[in-house]
Amino acid sequence: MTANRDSDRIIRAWLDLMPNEAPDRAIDSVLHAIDATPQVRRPWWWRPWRAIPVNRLFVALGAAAVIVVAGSVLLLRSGSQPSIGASQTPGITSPASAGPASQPASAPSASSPLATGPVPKEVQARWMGENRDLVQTGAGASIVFGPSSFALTQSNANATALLSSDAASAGAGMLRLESTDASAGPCPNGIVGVYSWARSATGRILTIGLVRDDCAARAAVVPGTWWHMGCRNPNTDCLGDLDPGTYATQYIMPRLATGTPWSPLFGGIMYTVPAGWANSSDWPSTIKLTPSADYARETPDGPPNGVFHEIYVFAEPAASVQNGSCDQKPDTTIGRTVNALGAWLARQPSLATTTPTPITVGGQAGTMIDITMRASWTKACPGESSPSVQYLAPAGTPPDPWSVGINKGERQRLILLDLGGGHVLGVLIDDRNDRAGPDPARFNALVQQAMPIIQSFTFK
Amino acid sequence: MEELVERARQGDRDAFAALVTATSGRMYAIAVRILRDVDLAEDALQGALITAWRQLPSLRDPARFEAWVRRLLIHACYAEARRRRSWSANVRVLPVDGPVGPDGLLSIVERDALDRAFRRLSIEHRAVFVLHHHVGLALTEIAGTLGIPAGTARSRLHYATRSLREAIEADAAPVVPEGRMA
Repeated sequence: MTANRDSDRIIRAWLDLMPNEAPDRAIDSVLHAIDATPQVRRPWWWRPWRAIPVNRLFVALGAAAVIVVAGSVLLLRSGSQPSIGASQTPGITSPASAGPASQPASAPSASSPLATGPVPKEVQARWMGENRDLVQTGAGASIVFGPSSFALTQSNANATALLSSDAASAGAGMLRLESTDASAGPCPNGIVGVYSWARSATGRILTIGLVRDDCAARAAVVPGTWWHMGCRNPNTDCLGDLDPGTYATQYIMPRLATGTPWSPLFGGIMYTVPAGWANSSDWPSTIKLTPSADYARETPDGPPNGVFHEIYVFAEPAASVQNGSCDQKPDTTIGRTVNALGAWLARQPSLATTTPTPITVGGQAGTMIDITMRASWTKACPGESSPSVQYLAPAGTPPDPWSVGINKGERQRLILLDLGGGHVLGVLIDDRNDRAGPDPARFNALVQQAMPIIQSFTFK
Repeated sequence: MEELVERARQGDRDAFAALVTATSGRMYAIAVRILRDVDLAEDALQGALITAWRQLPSLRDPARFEAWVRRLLIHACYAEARRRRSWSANVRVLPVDGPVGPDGLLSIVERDALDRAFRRLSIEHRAVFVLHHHVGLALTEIAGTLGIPAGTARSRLHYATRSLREAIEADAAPVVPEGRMA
């Protein structure tokens, strides 16, 4: 116990060594930021569901109407199946490609749609889709359904509704939208729209079809295919687990040039995944695709410490300064072409690299290099307990700082693609598991799964 | 304090500035101890306070303001620690020639041993350790702050404390010179 008390005194003294005052610049920065930052009031479209009185006669009439028009509505749905992108890829245009979609069993009369209850729980979520009217050019759109509300926003501005309506179920597989606040979008008050909806078997893809809507602006933006926002970190936007199919990134700008302001870009990268993959992050200059089994082990803060098993994509890489600091600084003396970076990597005493192999992805030529750490390398980045080195850093200052490094026992395949105009994109297949230890077979299996996905990439 | 919180909830930026001035030192002290990096701690502090400003209207009990901001801060620390693609490789070591410990208690060697042992802890273990040993929170308060069961908080604190004690004790043991491989 005496030893423990001594140790605890030492530990407390050590804790006391750290500073207790925040630097003025940090406080100034916060005060400056809040001047331009609005507070988040409870979104006005999130109203508690209140039952809409419906008398029994109306219910009976509605039910009769449902039977009469159900067939025609289903025909309408199949005839006006939305196509939100030019691509005929399964994830985008056809929910059936992702598994059998749930079908509406009946539908109300389009001419007198009745609200029959709150928006179904399966629909109450945030969903992401392609660019639409009302949204900034190039950006994705998102929709949010609450129990009694609907709002459309730009993908990266989900607190600002561009269009909103009261929402309700209008029978199985049908939704009723009614504009009740003309100041909240282009639809006059009281205009009702009726839409069909169906989800893929997993619930991750929502297809909305237009049945009737007198508000043309709403009719133009609501129908289509919407992907569920299933990111494990609720404070960031990614899709989470994916149905097999083709998807678009929401934010990454593959050609995020140094000094160029970022803006959200729907479809900056298109990618096709088989079953068992997740989109685990989507940021202005990086995205991650992770096998679902690994994604299941992530927390909102990311994968467990010392574990990577993923495809990592990053825009505009540069050689990292090799001064031991590992602090994300680019070495501006090294060229930023695919060839210059490949040659520089091969010269690094910390890295064992394979001979660069030519590769073409999405029509863009590049080079592919497998990387491990040299057995002779013993230096570690600050804070690392095992040999490590950082070798790539962003050329500019993207909103989402990143770096790429490697630790002892980690195995990586790096693909550098020339996107033209001086832009380079990095793609990394990365396997590290400090708990299980190095495992070439595990890396090879990841490469086998990852390469077809990478080969499916196309770039905007 | 509660009046300031109430005014800030209504959008009064001057009131929030006063709250920032009153609490930022304590918050920064927590962040820098958890992250062991002044730059990351600044980023975490800024992120937490800006989030606090944005989300203040949702705070129901003004008396809980500081505990609420502390929770935001811990999550900001988690994010800072992991946002940089992995690894603590980006974490800069604090200067070795910092202030001397009270009554000369702490040797450079002990500090180094503690620094290294602390960095080997996960960010979650560090948070529990700092909230207990620096802030002085009880385990139930820590559990409430972090949103974890009290048992988890207890086991994390136990593990972290044991790790640091062992680091000191190992450091006190005779050192065997490393052999050079032929």
